[in-house]
Amino acid sequence: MKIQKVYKKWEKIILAKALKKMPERKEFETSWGKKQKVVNLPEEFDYLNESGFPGKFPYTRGVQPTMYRARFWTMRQYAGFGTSQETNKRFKYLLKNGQNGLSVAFDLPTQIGLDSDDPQAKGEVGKVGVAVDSLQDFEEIFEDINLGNISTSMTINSTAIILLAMYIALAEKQNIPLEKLSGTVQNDILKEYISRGTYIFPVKESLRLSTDIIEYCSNNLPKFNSISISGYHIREARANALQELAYTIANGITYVQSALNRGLKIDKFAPRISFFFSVNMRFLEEVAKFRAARKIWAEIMKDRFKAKNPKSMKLRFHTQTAGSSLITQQPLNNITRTTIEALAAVLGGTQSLHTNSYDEALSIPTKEAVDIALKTQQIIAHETDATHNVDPLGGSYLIETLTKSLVKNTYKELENLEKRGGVIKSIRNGYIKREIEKTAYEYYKNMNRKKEIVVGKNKFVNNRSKKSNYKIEQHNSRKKQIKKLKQLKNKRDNEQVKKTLKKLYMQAKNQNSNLLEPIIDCVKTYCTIGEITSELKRVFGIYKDNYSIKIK
Amino acid sequence: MKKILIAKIGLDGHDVGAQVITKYLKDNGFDVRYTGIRKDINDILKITKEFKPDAIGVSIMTGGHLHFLPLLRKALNKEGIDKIKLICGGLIPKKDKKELLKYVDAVFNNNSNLDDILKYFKKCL
Repeated sequence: MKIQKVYKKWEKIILAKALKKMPERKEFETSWGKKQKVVNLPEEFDYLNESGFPGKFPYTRGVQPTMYRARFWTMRQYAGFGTSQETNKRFKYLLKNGQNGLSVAFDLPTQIGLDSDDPQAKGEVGKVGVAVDSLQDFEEIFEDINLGNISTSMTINSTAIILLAMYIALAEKQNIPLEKLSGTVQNDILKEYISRGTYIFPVKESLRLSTDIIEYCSNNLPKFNSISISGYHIREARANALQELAYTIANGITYVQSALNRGLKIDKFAPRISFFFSVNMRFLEEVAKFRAARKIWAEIMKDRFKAKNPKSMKLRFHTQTAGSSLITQQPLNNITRTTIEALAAVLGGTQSLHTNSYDEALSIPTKEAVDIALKTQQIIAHETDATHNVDPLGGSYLIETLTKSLVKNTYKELENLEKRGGVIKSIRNGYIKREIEKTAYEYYKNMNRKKEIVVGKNKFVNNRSKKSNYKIEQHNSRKKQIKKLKQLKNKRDNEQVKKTLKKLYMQAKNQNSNLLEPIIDCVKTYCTIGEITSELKRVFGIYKDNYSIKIK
Repeated sequence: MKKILIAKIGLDGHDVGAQVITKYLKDNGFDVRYTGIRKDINDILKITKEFKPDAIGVSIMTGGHLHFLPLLRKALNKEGIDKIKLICGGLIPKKDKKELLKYVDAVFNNNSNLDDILKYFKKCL
């Protein structure tokens, strides 16, 4: 009360005078439109319920009691390009240089279930990730890498079930028990319809496959994250921090509900649900976003889904610095951007981190740029004091205010989505996509009129800057892959292939069977991704996006 | 009202740019349609015949521009749609611009802002 009184006085006299003498540069608001005060005050708040202690419900301050005082986050750089051999080489390089987790990027044909020899794959093979057609490619990607000693993250969604089957089949070949496998499969199909675009099947059928993975992992791969619910791509489509948070949590609720509907027990599968967020340049907002995310998820799991195991309530997440904040002009400045973002992820308590390479806006990163990106994390870890305390920014008046605002508004948006009939309906009718598009449109208009500044892009443009040497690497992997496919199809036992595919088709028709096991059988006989996907398409059909015509 | 078709070719789903440009051109007096993601040459031909745009703007982010644009131009010419303006936008490295301009009327990359693109369409249509 006393603070309020003094504040009012300060506002009236000191602040008013200052504003009269020198008006502020602009209106200040958060990315979700909340007006920002000049200073934030110590508000009355219920510390134990709002924040509590790290490692204790509601986990606002962190999911572990000691966080980085015990162990750093996993430094995990996303990599993969061209052929399996090239990717294998890059992986070995990263592991040798102190990276402790692998993260596989797949090319687009692999992501949408097309073999490299498919006419539609022309011009795309090996471009944005490594091309995988069959288990054979997987064997090469992980050659001389013991799956029992690493943790692997796979960015794969509509064909996640096939790629995970390959990982499992490979582990069996390496004689590694499944309980020892550690890693993450992205398996978040809902955000593909919203923002990333690599969907194949209709929403309901896709959700069935996602749930198959969640179910199988909860029974057989206790150390594997069965899903990584991703806000990253939603944010990269220029959603704001609140939208990223709200839609991600809403998707999360949808997966949990789907698993529960199947009869799975919440505490059996929920401990292996993980998240993936973006971290952007407004780093104070971002720190608050991570805190808010932990609190909301913990509350939803406990109160709504009646989880008892604390592990089910802990929101663990991977973070990637924002690719959308990087520009091609004066690319070295991207190192600065990535550093600021990476620091925010650490201050926000991330479990693993990918730092973008400065040349990522234009190409598959060069070795030098990858090295700088990884070292950026090592510098934050070893040279700064950001890791000395848990949740070091907790208790900042501003951070607490932002956290509170995000929590409140996320709940509001969740309610709104439920009123609209839920996530699946809001995906199908384009509502979520349109909401993000509105934010994106405002952003670009603001860039256009310089209300939003990006140094080197719309202000402080250095016209004499050197011509950039960066180019999009042209990996001509298609020919190699097609040749490999031909040889494979001659070499493998084609009777077995037919048999396993037929079995898959039959099981797919049966609503009640989990498809992971029949798909493991398929990949072991070297069925291709295209063949397996075709069988599933025959049963499920494909998703038709009718959003595009509706842009108003 | 002049008509513009904004198109995404190939398997890439990154279409914020395409969406935003569609909206901006619409707000500035053009009749614009967006194809949505993951269209192939035949899809675009089909929509073109139906919508009859004065220009097509293709957005490509994956490095496939020198593969797709020549194919699209050839396909349009074959159908006798040879007066149409064809524009390419996206992640287009400087060194590819010259080659690409053999097949398209203009190239915009990530240095271009919304008004550059609007100005171009106002001038040429």
